[in-house]
Amino acid sequence: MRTKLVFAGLVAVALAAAGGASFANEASSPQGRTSAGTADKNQAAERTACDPVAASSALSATDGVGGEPDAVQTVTHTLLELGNEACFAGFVIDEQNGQVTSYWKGDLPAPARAYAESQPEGLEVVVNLKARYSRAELRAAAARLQAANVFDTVGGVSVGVPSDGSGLKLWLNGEQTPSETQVREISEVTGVLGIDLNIATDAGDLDTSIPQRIDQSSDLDTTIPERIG
Amino acid sequence: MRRRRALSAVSAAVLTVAVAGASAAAQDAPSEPTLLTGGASPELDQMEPVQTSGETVTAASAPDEAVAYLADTIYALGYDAGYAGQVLQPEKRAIDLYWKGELPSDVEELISGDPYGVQVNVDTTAEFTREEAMAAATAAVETSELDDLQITTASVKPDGTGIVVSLTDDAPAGPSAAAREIAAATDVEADAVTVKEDVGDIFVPTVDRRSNDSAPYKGGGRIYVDGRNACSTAFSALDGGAGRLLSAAHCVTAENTNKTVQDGGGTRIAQGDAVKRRKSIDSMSIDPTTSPASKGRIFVSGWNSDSTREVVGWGSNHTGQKVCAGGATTGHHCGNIIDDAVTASGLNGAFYVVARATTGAFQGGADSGGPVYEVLDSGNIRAKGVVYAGTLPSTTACGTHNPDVDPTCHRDLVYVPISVVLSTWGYTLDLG
Repeated sequence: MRTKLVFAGLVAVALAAAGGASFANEASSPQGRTSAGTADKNQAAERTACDPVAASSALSATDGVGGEPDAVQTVTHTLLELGNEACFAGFVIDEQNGQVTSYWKGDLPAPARAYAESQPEGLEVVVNLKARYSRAELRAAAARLQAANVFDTVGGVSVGVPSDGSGLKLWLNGEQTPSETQVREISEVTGVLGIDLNIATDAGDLDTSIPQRIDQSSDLDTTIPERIG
Repeated sequence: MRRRRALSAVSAAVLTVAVAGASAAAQDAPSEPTLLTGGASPELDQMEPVQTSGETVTAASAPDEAVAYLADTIYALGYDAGYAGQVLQPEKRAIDLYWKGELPSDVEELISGDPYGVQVNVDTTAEFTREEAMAAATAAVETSELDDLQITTASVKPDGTGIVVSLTDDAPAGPSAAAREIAAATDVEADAVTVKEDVGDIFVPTVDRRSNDSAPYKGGGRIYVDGRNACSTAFSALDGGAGRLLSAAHCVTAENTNKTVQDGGGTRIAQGDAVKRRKSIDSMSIDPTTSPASKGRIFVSGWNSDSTREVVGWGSNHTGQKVCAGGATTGHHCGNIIDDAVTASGLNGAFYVVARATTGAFQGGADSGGPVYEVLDSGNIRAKGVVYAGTLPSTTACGTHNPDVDPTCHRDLVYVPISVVLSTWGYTLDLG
């Protein structure tokens, strides 16, 4: 069985939009991304509130700890506890250089900021408050897009949520880039502005094929054992 | 798989186990050295890397691990180039290596200068390679003309001088006569056959390994569905107090109506309603028939490894973090997370994780369902996810792998976060 999915590291295809992004993020700034018009900029400027409901449902499903916590785990979880999870966008970990970069939409509460500045656990914590979207918002947007007709129309393979909260990554299976109309439709479905869509073509499928056992002649046990306990 | 065996149909696993038992010096040695493939073993990251034939390997800090790791590497490099066997002496930080003919240059290079402080004593006078001896041992127990001898087990000698055959206490032939009969039916001379008498109709203890685990089952082991679809187990989990094995839902395909899950030796683990799936997150929960059903440990190292590590907890996934995966096809590999929240068509959610191998393959066919984890400084395991797929554009060579399948391998691995799996099932992780 082969199903669709993502392939990272592809060349991003620029969307047809004009102007510059309101911020730059070196961690995962999409190549070739260009801009949106004035209306989009205004919408982006208004986008400051975080969605606590979406945040709680999104984060509770994917974050957790257990046993022998290490420095990175301790720091990331403390930051999430002290910060406003609803505005959390993501972490990028550089284990080699002992650095944790945290991305947030909007300000960070004073206790979290103080913790970050304290070099907790000996790690350098970089705080970036320029995320355009929270992780919860983007996860919800990704789910909406995956379920929308336009996703199939453009040959969508997968949607990614960048850790820097800059927008959505959209991987397409094929060389065709979406039309302006399709980009507009994607923006409407997701609430993510066109300038914040990082679109990559030729993503390719996901390989979930299950190989068959080569030698099926040996002594497979065909007895049905009794349940012991 | 543990089972009582007599006379015939002794598997390769049984044969190799008997090797260790044949030599007192080899009691602590792996009967068949573990293969290390692709990335270095996580616990081996402490020491300086050594270059061998363009591949970087590292050694363990602990003496026994250094010895075992070097043995693994020697085996991986030379198993088809004259390798006969080796006896490990961890306490002396030494290996006695037996070879048929000259050492290959890469092995020679590897062992020169006492790598990792391990002394390798080489004897190149072996009469049989391990492969040749294994073929003879297999023939001894599988040839019907020898049934009358009442052979219980056959094994290869680690020094490459022949095979050891054990007979039941009711065996009619004496050792010399049995050796001659065995020699006639195999490719070895009678003087290369050592016959042990009166060993009884024995229970043969086998070593659990990735390729053939037994209850209580661990993560990272081979499973088959209906004897055909090959997959791997991820972690042991607890449904209340009852043990469950986690794997991938897509291991079961439409034709698998009975959903019979077997271990690598073909022993049935569970079937029917005891095998449940949550296709929305590609998760499978197996309720083994046996009790205790499972254990909070996973296999580490190569595809045929018998080494396991304790699972002590689980953690979340963030871009940039190092993670490792260890399916039963290609074994242990490591890399870094490149995307920590993506969707995958056919599955719910935008929380799937993509990781890229540092070098070579991260995942291959039938590694599906295997564990993704972090190796802690203590050597213990923190669970991170369950192998879902590889990405086709990242297809790459598999390297050494379990020969039970012909896999396609990928550098980019896609997995389901363990937190999602546990919360979806309502399970807790089974800690070792």
